Order: sequence, then structure tokens, then C-alpha cells
Amino acid sequence: MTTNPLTKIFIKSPFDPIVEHAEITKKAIEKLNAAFTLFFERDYSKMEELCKEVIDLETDADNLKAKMREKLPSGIFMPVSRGDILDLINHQDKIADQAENLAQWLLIKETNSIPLKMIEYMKKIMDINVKIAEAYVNAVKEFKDVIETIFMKKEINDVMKYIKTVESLEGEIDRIQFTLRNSFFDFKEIDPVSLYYTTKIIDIISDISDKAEASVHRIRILITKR
Amino acid sequence: MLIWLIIAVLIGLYMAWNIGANDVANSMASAVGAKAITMKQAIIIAGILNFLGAVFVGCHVTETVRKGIVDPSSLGSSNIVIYGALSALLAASLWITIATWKELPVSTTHSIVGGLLGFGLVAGGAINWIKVGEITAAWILSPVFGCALAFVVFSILHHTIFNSKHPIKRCRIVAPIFIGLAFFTIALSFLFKTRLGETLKISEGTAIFYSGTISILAMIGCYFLISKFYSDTFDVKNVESVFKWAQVFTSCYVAFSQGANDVANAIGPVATIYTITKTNEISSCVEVPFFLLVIGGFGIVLGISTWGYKVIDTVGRKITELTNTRGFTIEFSAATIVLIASKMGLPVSTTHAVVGSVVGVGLARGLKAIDLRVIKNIVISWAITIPSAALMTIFIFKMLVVIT
Repeated sequence: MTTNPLTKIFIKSPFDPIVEHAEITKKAIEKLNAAFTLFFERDYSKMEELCKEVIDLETDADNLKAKMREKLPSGIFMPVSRGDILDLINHQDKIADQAENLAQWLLIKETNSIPLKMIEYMKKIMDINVKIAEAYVNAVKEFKDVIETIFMKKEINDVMKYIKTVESLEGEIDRIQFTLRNSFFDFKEIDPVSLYYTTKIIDIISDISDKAEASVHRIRILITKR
Repeated sequence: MLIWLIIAVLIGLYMAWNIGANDVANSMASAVGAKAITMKQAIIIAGILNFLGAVFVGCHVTETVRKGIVDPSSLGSSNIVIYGALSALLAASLWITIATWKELPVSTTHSIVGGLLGFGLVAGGAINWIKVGEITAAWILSPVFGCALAFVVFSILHHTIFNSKHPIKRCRIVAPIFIGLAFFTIALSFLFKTRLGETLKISEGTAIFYSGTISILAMIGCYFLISKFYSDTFDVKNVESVFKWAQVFTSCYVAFSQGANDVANAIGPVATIYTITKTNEISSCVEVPFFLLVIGGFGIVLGISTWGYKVIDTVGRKITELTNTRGFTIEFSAATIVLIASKMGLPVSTTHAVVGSVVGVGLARGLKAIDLRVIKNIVISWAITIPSAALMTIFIFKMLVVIT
């Protein structure tokens, strides 16, 4: 249609889709938390609906991830390295993966197999995950601002603030997890299958925060590497 | 004899049309994409300024294309010169048509110079290899200098305005300085060693003095305009809106410099034929007649208004993230380089100068994502265009000789 290379030199940046992907993840975790509460209330029909929505959101996230990767050709030149962005996308996607993972396990619906003493701790962990998701999305949004203002000090400080929030919340979950693990041998009479189910769920809900922290550390690399 | 001139003018108009259609996006797309001006405004502005640039400053490069590469007086018969210039023009037009169809990033400047080289080789005339060397150097240096200048300008803008504690205050000083520089370059190009300068009896030193005065007046005017319309509250948006008007100005600057440099691609060979049909001699001293520059300018305007707006639309939609400060930097740098090259009589690709400036802003981290594979394609097209245009010219020339 034209010989002008200006039609081809500008490409859509990945920074908007990365924010969108983070918001899908946050939505998934919020719905997951609601499903988690319903799991313990034994309201399985509503819980199933929510779990399906979480799984659908994870599929959306995967599709968006694939699209983002397509739009990052090897010749792309950004204010940050392409490898670092691909790495961030990779890590960020793992958060939603874990959310979907938990939804699948909840659908087994064996609430009775979870020791009563552990339930409050587990709910606490999931609540903190929602706070982490909120801080994470803010970190990603501020990261986008860092790029747009060409690494203005104020914007970098804003990102760091949210990164530290995610880190401290993840630390809280670590402490709760420590308490839970220490109490395992109090449940010697529980059957192994139930114990496995319980441990699996505890591991996954803790892992959500681990994956969020790992991802937010990738953002830190992006804003400080000059 | 006249028939050859008419044919030449028609093909020249087609070349000019191509320039308007493909290249006008260089000047207007970013202003349209950033919604600083509407498409209609863009077409009118581009048309007028391309025309003015062609008519008032276009003679230098046209002279080079007319006789700077192949000296017509070194050739035996006037027929050979006519056939040769015609072949070069026709070959360049064909090559550009094929390239557009295949969507290759080909430059009109490179095509016509390639054609002229072919003409020189086949007609056994003297090719001014020194000039060719200068032109080749300009082809490599213009995007490189555009890149460097854009990098420097954007870094200055970024550090003095965005990173400072009083952005609007800084804006009031920095923006006028750049606009003043642009005025300086434009005024110089009108007055320094030009027909207009001679008519007004302005010597070279006086030209510099007048240009300097005009630019300082422009700077002061800008300072007051900005102070009047923009309060001191910092908001990134406010800075960007100051540059909205600066960007409209630099779009005009690019359109002007484009007219100055590109019209030669269409009119240079036509001028060669014209001087022969007029005088029946192969004179090497006749200047480019004004009316030919007008015809070239008109062709460019036609291209802009019939096809160019589509290209502006295509490019404009892809650069919606290009803010006014970025657009300003890219255009200021590209236009300055192209206008300087025009004054030196060197035909350069205005598009490649813009691409160089885009990369410069990207290197200064002002752009979120650019595709560097475009550069690879441009270099490849350089390698293909010269031999292709030259070979086509030789072929057409031989055919013309056989037919007549």
C-alpha cells in the first residue's frame, strides 16, 4: 500500500497488556477467595460457579500471555530488555496458574477432611492473597508509569512502595504457614488422604503469594537495571 | 522535441505524486496521531508547505539531480540526453510502483539517483563520481545525524523539563529555544545563497544576521505565548499541550524541508530535458526554471490529497502512544538534517531521516516499542534499488534508441 517504513516501525508496546493480565489475575484471586469461603460453608453449587469462573479467567490470562509473546519479535526495541519483559510475563502468569490449580482442588469438595483447627489460618492466608493481588496490580500500573515518564525517581519510588507491601504480606503468610506446619503432628489420627488434601491446599495458597513475590521482583529488576 | 518534454513532465508529475502519497506521512502522521491537528488540516498544511519548500528552496537539490551527477554537456548529442533523462525518470517511476505494490521500503531519492547512474553508464557520459560519493555519504549520514540530533534534543527535553521541579517554567524557556533554532534554519534556507536572497540583494553575512534576528523574535514571541496560555501548575499533560503547538510547527517544518529536498526527484531530469528543448544546446549553466518547480510542487500536493491521507491515517493509528514531545523531537531533528542537506544540494531520503530520528528518541528511552527490523529492510532496499533502477534505465534507454 505504501513504501513508507513508518507504517512498520512503530509497534504496540506490551506494557498495556501486562497491566491487563495482572488485573485478570487479581479478579481470579478475588473470586477464588469467595469460592474458598463457600468451600468451608459447604455451599457447593455457588462455589462451583465461582471455580469455573476462576478457571475461565486463567484461560483468558493464558491467551493474553500468548498474544503478548507474539507481539514481542526479536527485533523489538524497548526502554527495557525484551528478555526481562518475557521473564516478567512468564512469572506473572504463574500466579493465575496457581489460582486455577486451587480451584480444581476445591472442586473435589472434601471439606470434612480439613482439620477444624487449621481452617481459620487457611482463610487468613487467602485473605492476605487478595491484599497481595491488589498491591501487585498497583505495582504493575506504577511500573507502566515508570516507563512513560522515562524512569522518573518519584515513579520508581511508588513501585518500590508496592513491591515492599507484597514482600511483607508474603512474609506474613510465611509465618502462618510455619505455625501450620509445626502443628501437623497434632493430627496423627487423620487419614493420609485427607492430610495430603489439606497439605496440598495449604501449599497452593501459600504458593500464590510466592509466585506474586517472584513476579514483583522481576519488576524491580526492570526498573533498576539501567 | 516538445513531445519529449510533455512526456517528461507527465512522468515527473507521476513521480511527484508518489512523493506526496508516500512521504507526506513523515510530516503529518505524528501530529494527526497525537490529535494535535485534524486530517483535513494536515492535508492543507502539508500541501502548502511542501509547495513552498519546493518552490523556494528546491532549486539546489534539483540542480544536483539535473547536472550534478551526470554532466549533460559531456555528452555528444542532445537526443542522448533527452532519452537518458527520460529513461531515468521512467525507470525510477516503475521501480517505485513495483516497490509500492510489493510494500518494500524504497526511497524516491535513491531510485532517481540509481536511474541517473544507469543513464551515465550507458550514455558514456562523465559521471561525477565525487558527487556520487558525497550523495552516498549523505544517505548514510542523514539518518545517523538525525538519530544523534533526536537523541540529544530529547535528552535535553527530558532532563530540563520532565525531571525538573518546575516543568512549566522550564518549558517556557526550552521550547522557544528549539523553535527559534527551527526558525533560524528556515530563514537561512530562504535567504542564504538563494534566488530570493539575490533579488533582495542580501549578502551571506547579512542573511545570517537576519535569520538570527528572526529566530530571536520567534523565541521571544513563543515565550510570551506560552506564559500567557499556560499556568504554572505541573501536570505532565500541561507540558504535553505546550508541545502540541510546537509539534504543529515542526510538522510544518518537516513538510517544508521535504518539499525542498524531494521535488528534485521529480523535476531534476525534467529540467535537463527542458533546457535542451528550449535552447537545443546542452548547456550546463542554465538554472532550474521556476515553473518546473511549481509543477513539481503541484504534483506533490496532488499526491498528498489523493492518497497521502491514507498513509497518514495508517501511520497515525499506529503511533497513538507518541506524545507531543516525542513527535516534536523527531520532526525537529529530521527537518533540520534534511534542510541542511538541501542547502548543500544533496538529495537525501526524508523518510530515512525521520526513521533515524525515531531511533534516536527510542535510544533516549522516549518510545515504548519500535521495530528495528525496519532498519534491516531499509538497508536491504538501498542495496537493491540502485542496481535495479540503473539496470531498468539502461534497458529503457536502449529500447528508446532502437525505437527512434
